Amino acid sequence: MPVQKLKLESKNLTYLHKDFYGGLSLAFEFIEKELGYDALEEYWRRVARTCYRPLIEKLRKEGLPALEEYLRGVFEPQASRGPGQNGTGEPDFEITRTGDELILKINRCPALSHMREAGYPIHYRYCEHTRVVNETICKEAGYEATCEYDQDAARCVQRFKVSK
Amino acid sequence: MISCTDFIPAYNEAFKFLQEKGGRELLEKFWKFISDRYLQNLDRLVAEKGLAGMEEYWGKSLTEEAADCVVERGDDYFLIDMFHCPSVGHLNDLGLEKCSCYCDHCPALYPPIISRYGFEVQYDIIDRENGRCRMYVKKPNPRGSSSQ
Repeated sequence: MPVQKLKLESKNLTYLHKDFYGGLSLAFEFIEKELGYDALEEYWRRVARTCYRPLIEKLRKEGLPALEEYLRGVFEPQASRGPGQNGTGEPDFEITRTGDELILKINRCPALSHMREAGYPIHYRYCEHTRVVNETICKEAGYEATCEYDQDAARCVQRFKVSK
Repeated sequence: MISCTDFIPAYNEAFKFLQEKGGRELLEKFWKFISDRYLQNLDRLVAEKGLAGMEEYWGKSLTEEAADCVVERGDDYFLIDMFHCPSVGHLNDLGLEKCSCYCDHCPALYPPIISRYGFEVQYDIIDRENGRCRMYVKKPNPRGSSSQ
């Protein structure tokens, strides 16, 4: 058999590896099993403050348009269905922004959908990390966030607005 | 939501968090947990297809991770020559402090699975700062000796 050689160059590739969701969910499971649920929340808050520092700064300086830009950058490449393409007329996600509020409605969570399709175990409070991470990012930037989710249905509504 | 595109910084933070709470021992326990539970698809591919399974697994994952590397398979070997690790590059681009032993997770995760099926694995971390490493897998010699 001739040698099989694959040369990869990042400049020609798009970074999107959905299997990472499975690794993340297992990390949640491990941290809670070893250190308890409070430690898991502490980890989520630390990720929010450290990894999302650039987003916090941008949100503080530029407001909700910066958050909308970030969210579209996350969800558009992962969306499998546009408006009217999935048989129900429902897109995977919708973003509505008024003057002082941004609402992200997720009708088909890319993380939960991928983990189910790929057979990864899903942490029983997987969606809770979104609430905690959003809340922490927003608090640091002078905003408020809520997240109402239904993990079984892979749906949530995330709301963001300026703190009063 | 922590997006899959933000996974690497979150993973790095998990390493630092676990090391802080329980030292290297807890971190290695985590890597073993991830190797056993997260990499079942790699295990299955190596079990079913051997070297071709490794090529299939890393051909897909390193493409999706946008790596700069060569993935090579011969009759009796499999090689990943990583010139610029996408994970290390991502952390460097973001200016985040890397876990001091960040690169150690790869040799902790993959060789235990591969060697389970009789392959010999050599994993060399060449440059932790810039993300350069090399994994060489040798098919077992039927006569019991090996050479690279």
